[in-house]
Amino acid sequence: MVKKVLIVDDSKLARMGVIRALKALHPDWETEEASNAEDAFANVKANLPDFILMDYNMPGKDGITLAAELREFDSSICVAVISANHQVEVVNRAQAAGAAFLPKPLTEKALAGFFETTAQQRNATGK
Amino acid sequence: MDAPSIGLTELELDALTELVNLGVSNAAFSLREMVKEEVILSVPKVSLVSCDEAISILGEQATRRLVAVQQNFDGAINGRALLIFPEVNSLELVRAVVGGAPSLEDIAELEQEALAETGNVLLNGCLGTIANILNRTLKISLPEVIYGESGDFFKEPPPRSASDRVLFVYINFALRGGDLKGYIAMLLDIPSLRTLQQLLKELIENIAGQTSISKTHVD
Amino acid sequence: MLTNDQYAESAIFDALEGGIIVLDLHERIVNWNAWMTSASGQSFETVYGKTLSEIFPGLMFRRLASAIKLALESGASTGISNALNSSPLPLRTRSRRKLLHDIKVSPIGSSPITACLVFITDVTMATHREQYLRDQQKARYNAVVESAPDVIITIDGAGCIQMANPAAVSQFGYTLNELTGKDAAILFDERSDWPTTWRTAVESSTPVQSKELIAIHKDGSLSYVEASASRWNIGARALVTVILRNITERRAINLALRASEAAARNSAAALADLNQSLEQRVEQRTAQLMNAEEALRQSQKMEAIGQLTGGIAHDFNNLLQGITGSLHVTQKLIALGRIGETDRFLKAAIDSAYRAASLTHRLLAFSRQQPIDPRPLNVNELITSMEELLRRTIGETVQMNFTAADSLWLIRCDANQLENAILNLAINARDAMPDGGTLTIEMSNKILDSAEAALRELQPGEHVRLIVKDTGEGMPAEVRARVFEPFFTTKAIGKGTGLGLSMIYGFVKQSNGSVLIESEVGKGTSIEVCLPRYQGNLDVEATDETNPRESRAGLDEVVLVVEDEGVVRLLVVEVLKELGYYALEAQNGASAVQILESRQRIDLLITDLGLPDISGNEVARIGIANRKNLKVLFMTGYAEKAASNSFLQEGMEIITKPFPMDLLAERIRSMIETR
Repeated sequence: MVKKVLIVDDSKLARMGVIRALKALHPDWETEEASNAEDAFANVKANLPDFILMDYNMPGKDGITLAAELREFDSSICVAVISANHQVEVVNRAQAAGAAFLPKPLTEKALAGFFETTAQQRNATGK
Repeated sequence: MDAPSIGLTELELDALTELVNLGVSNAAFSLREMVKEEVILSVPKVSLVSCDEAISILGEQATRRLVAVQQNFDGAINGRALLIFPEVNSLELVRAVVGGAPSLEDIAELEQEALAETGNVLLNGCLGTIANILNRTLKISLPEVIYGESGDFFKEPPPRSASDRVLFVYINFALRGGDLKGYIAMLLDIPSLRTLQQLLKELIENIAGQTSISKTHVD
Repeated sequence: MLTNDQYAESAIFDALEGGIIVLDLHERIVNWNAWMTSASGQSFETVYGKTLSEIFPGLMFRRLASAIKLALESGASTGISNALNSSPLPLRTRSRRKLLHDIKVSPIGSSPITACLVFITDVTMATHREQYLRDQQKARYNAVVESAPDVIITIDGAGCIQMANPAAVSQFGYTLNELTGKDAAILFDERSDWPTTWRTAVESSTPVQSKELIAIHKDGSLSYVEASASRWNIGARALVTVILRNITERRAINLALRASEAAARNSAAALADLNQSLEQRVEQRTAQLMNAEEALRQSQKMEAIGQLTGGIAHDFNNLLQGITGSLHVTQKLIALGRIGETDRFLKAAIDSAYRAASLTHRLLAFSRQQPIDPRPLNVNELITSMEELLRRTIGETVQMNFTAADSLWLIRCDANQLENAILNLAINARDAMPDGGTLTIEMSNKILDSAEAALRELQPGEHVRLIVKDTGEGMPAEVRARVFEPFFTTKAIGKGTGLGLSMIYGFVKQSNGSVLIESEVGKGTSIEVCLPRYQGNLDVEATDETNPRESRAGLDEVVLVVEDEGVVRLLVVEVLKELGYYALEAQNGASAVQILESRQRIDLLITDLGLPDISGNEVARIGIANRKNLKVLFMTGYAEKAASNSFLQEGMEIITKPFPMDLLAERIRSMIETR
């Protein structure tokens, strides 16, 4: 089943990297890009993506705050925060916001793990 | 006019910013190990400026007295990396790194060591990450602490001429609730900058999946 | 077999006073020098091919591990100091003490990196020495700063707190951690000018002292602090140490003081209490003194009058006796038709009446109902004339001495006031000598040099000095000091200083003179009054008895007499006729004005001040408006009106009823003759 994925990162190169990893796993999935929080919100409202992969350290609103807001808007969206800043406080905050934490640079393996975990969680909750 | 200068494309600058972002994020993780508390980072702002511009940016600081931790690097690219912040801020940094409630005398005494180690962790994190992602080896020296005004940090080579470029990174990190604003300056000579640009191109091509131009420049 | 080079390398390694560990790309130990063997107790053979975590199991040296990883992967070098990392490896000195060490990790080889060098330096000795020095310094520091009741904070060049003592923690309510690194501005209310204080301290080498600031505590409460701040340096770094003394209580007392001061303005008792508890508050005491002064002055006046009355009543009765007696005799003689014999008794009656008048005059003057009428004066003569009064006043137990300089200079002041002053001083002296003693009154000429003049707030030069000295109990320093503050008054002194020096002071000051008090317990009191020399002669009319009244009688001069009281007018006209002047009469202001506005020649206007229609003053004003050189002599029975003689212009004089006819005649003559 084709899924819609929104990638949020202020760096174009980083978005390219994420898309490359994603295409390697699911070449048929649709991807959308946003470079900041506002665009991301607009996109979520317009396209209702299944997954959002977002950078943590962005100018303006950071990825974890944005993740929390998006989850509040629509709790069915699965969000992953991607960052090289894996201080324990950052990882904990991401999880508290209902988002998964994935280390940067993003590997295909880590991304596959994220999709797998979310699928299992959905099954477990009876969806 | 300036001697032959190099401009980076928007995407190259984006790539460089992302590299530095990864670098300081890693560095923040290492710093956290040292201070046992979260280190909060701003998004680094990266720009490529001339030496003179770098001096004048640093000269705009509220206090003229600056402190810098310097590490030299050589390998695929040669140059110096400096972590620079206003001298008045340095005691805060030291206090954060030393931990506990040390006396002012202790802090003043440990200042050099603490600055050196903090700068070391931060610069190693940056330079090491950049080297790793660019898939190149850099030999990075031990740190040295320098006090002075902005012009003092750019006297020694490289760069060899005033028109040489400085990769200028502005970061803001908060420790123990206190803000530390600082700069990371990487001074590169022209050949090194060309190499860096080439490496960035390769990185972009790699990620974009355009493998046609790849690998040929590796040596 | 080792090659020569390798052998040399190994030998050098072993000779090094420091630890060398070489790790390969898999972080396995490939070299380990003799120093390491000694420090760790493990030989190269034991450790070869193992990782550091295998050699030192259970150790958490993450920084070392990540430094090694970084060196091998990225080529980065790392320094790990003992000071910040407390010696990660379990190493021992040769005497088996804990070996404190710094570690440096660097890559070996470049492009590619082949190994990693871990270099360990012994810093045990240096660290111990530093620690000792630091402890010593801290002990000194703690003794002063840690136990200080005042807040002591040290601030860096950016205004951030770098050090705070326990008093700072307890007073502001922040923990030490919260204070450290904060901008010191958070400790001060916006109303207080902390930024300026701070800037002054950091930019100038002169310390800031006693600057009052409002401190704001963590809980938002305020306190008042007195700040002093001074700059110092660690190396090139400027630091400012600020000491804050809490003055909230002191301020609260001051505020309460001011509030109660206002509330108690009219309550002498409350003021006295306040005064007692807050002696040092000069302003407060000033307020009290100002308020109490009037009442006090009046009561002291009454007290003094009471003291005088005893002596005077007897005289007065005698005088009345003389008057009434003489009049009775005269009445009888007239009835008997022996008119020729009445003259002697009438003269006696008149003499007695004048003496009685002089006594009431003195009493009036004493209660300050006396016009101030400064005239040239010889103090010797004045005192001589007072001698009897003084003797009567001070009583028999006190011996009185007069010392007068020959040819004493003249002064210019109100004779009555000076008399009062001397009398008051004599009474003070008497009260200071309840068991008897000696009162000395000295008069001398004195040329004040500039220092002496400055002491008395006078101009240098010629003065007449009057000293009233007693051999009484004297005053302690604190009383004497209070005598002179803030108005040079003795009002608050209490016992033995019945009548106010402030009155004397006021009068002397008005006469451009000074009052000085010298006193010591058991050594008596000496009060000096200095008055400037008068450069001139005695007024002709005042004492010039030798000048015969007939000498300059001319019928040319015309005098206008304005008086509603017929008897008085009659008497004045009689005196004028006797003197040979031509008198015009007016019984009210209006008719006087008519005459003054006419072309009638008038040389002198004698007018009562209290006329029924318009005031004598107004009459005089109209007269002068018409006749520029008109002289005016005012008569008044309302002495208090005359007391403020400020309305007297040049060519105007005043005479107080009752006056002896002789005095009136003299005043008229002198006024007309002075051109």
